[in-house]
Amino acid sequence: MAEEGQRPVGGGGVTDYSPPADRPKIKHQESIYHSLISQTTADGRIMIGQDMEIFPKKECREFASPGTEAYDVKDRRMAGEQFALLCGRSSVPRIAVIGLYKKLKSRNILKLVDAGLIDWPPEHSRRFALIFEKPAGKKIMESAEAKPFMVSEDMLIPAVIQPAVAALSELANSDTVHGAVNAENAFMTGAPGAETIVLGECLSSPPSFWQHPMYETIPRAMAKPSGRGPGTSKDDIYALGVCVAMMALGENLLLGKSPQQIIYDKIEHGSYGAITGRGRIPGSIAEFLRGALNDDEDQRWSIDDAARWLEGRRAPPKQPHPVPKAARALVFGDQQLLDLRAAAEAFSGNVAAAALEIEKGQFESWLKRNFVDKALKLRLDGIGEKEKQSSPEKLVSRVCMALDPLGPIRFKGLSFFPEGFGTALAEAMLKGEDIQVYGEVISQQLLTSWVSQRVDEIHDASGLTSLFEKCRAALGHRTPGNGIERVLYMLNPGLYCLSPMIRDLFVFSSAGILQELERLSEQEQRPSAVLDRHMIAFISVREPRLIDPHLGYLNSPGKGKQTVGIMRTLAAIQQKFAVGPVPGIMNWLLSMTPPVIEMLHDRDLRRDMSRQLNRLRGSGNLEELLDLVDDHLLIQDDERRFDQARDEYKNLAAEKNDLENYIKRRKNFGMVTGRQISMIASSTLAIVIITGYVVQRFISGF
Amino acid sequence: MTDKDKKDQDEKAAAGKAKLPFSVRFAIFILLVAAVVLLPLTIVFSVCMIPTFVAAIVDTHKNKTAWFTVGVMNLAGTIPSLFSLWYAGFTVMSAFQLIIQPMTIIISFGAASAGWLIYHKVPLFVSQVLFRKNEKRLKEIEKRQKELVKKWGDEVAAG
Repeated sequence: MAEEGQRPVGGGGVTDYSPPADRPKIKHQESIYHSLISQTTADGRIMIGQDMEIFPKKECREFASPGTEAYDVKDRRMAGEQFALLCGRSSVPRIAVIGLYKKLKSRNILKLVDAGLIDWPPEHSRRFALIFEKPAGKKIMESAEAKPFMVSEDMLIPAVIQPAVAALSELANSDTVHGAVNAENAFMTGAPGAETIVLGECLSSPPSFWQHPMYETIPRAMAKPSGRGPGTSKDDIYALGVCVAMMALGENLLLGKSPQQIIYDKIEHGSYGAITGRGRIPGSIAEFLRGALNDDEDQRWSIDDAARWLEGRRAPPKQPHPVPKAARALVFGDQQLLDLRAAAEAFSGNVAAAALEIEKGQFESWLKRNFVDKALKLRLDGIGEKEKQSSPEKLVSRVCMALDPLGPIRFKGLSFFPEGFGTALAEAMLKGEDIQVYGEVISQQLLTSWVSQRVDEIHDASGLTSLFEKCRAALGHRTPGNGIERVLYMLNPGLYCLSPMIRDLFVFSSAGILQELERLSEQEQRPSAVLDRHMIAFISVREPRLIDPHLGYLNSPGKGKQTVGIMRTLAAIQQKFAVGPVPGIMNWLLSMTPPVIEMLHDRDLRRDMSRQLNRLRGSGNLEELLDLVDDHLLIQDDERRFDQARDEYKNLAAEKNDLENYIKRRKNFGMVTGRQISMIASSTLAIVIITGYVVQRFISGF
Repeated sequence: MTDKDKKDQDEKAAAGKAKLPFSVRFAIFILLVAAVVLLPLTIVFSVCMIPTFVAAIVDTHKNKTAWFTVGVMNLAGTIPSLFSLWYAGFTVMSAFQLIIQPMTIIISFGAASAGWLIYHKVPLFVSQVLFRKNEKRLKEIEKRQKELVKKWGDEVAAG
């Protein structure tokens, strides 16, 4: 088994692998799970270290979580059985939590053995694997249609509530939530009649990502699963309450009702009423369920409340505040709406009709007649004229926000909480869905509007607002390093790089990008661009110092400057993370150097540089490459001498032009000068003659 | 145009022509007086210097250098006649006797011919020399420009 904290930094190529014992200690705990932990032997076996083997032909579906695949694993050093959960590609594993999860001491949560990237020969690709010990028992519900595992009334507390609360409490103490407590993700282990609950894993996908609305509080149930956000430990207690209720009733509450019906039932009857229905709830757990399933978030039990109740110290839960209901229903389509939350939910389902309803004014008078709520009035008044004049989608979204301030943001078919927006965007990108609407959400400031409505209740509201404003600013720029890609990585700190070139390789770090590019460089059909928009945005968000100073070059229209920007960035990554030689990337970059060389004006210098660059072929130190092509003094000198040469050429051209004009006028060329010279010659000769004559006369004595 | 207008215009033209500076008018006056006083000299000079006057008249070039080029040589050819006039008593008669001597005319006109020769041949020679010199310079320029383009590329010629 690999020891935690002993893996190299960086997402990895094949060369990444090092035996667990040799793995260096690193600072960030989660980054140890970013590297490759498997090796494929010559006979095709997938080994993790020397002792653990994954069997791709032995699938164990009963242990698979939604969106994952499970395969048998055998660790020679351990007596029990293990299984590997291979995470799907439509969700992002919770890598940041793995370290904390692995430290959990509770026996009532699935035990994590190891985690990391593995090469998966059946698909010739890479997968993120979580290796767990197999629980010796059955799931509470084998499938969504199955009947829940029945536990006797007197065993519900000691076998289910107590151990589950203890496990969740340990998680909560690590400042994290489970987010996947449900009857299909919990096992009853132990001897028949003395079973104890073991909660399933919660690492293969973001919290609540696969949770049925039945297990979610009303506001969270109304949001799309990926947009629910991380939630709190109260949400875990709520989900546990639903599981306990099902076990107590012996009834699968998921059956017979659509998720939407379940939500409306909860809105109408309250969670407790909708879940327990007319069934007989044992008195011993009724109090727990009232506390856990309380729809008033302030009144809903936390883990501490549940623990105190288990110790017999908890005061009975208060009744939730009654939800204000209208005396007369608002008829909206075929629905009779009696409360604000149901109205918001119905409006978001039919935006065009809702916009019409709002504009007609009938809705406003219905509100005035039925709800005397100053806060509601304030929220509705907060919708500015500009928003009222904007698109129906935005208007309805803002009205829904005012009607149900605790509910999710509802916009163009999406419903999400601001904390879950990043995950929803990541899911959309992973699934290749249209992401334009996500951009609209940011640019139309719906996220900040939602936060500003609950600014007093939200922890770090100013931090969230600031983050969303930064996202809006990033979205406003279309250049690489900005745009929706930057927003994606800003809002998903644990997300791997979704560049189409390397998205299947789960690259979580800048160093990993360099290593994967090295692998790509060896392929015959390597991409034309070394760094694409995703990679630039990814590095810029994760390691801004390595790329931001070079963004100007990367975004330059000139190919030469772009290439220098790429070289600078990759060299900085290689230097910072002490990545070894990358001869493939070197050759790749060398093939891109013609435009860089062309940035020099001096042809002799170009030839000289080409010769020097060719000598670097096969070496892998990008700093050497950069020293050659990014020599500021050389470039400045070349520029200066080029300017001088240009001036000289210009002067020569002017002189040539003058001479040519003179020569064109050949007939008269030099005649003016010639005549002047002839004057001088004539005068000189005359003076000589006159002087000679006079002298001669004097000599001859006149 | 009425007769009166025409008359006014003529007067104005006459006034324009007569509008020489006093110094010039005075110089002309002194020259005329000198010409009368030194009549023998005037006679010999006028006859011997005819080629110069002709050169001044026939020279159509802007700079009018022909009269000077011919004139100075013509003068050099006239000087011996003037010496002879002086020794002959500087009389009008001796002046006439001098000008009818073929030698006087041959020397003065011959010198003027030399002046004409200089006037015609020297510019051509100078032109030829300058032309060759400029052609050589042009080749040097073209060679240097080619060198610059070879070293710096076509962009050195741009802008």
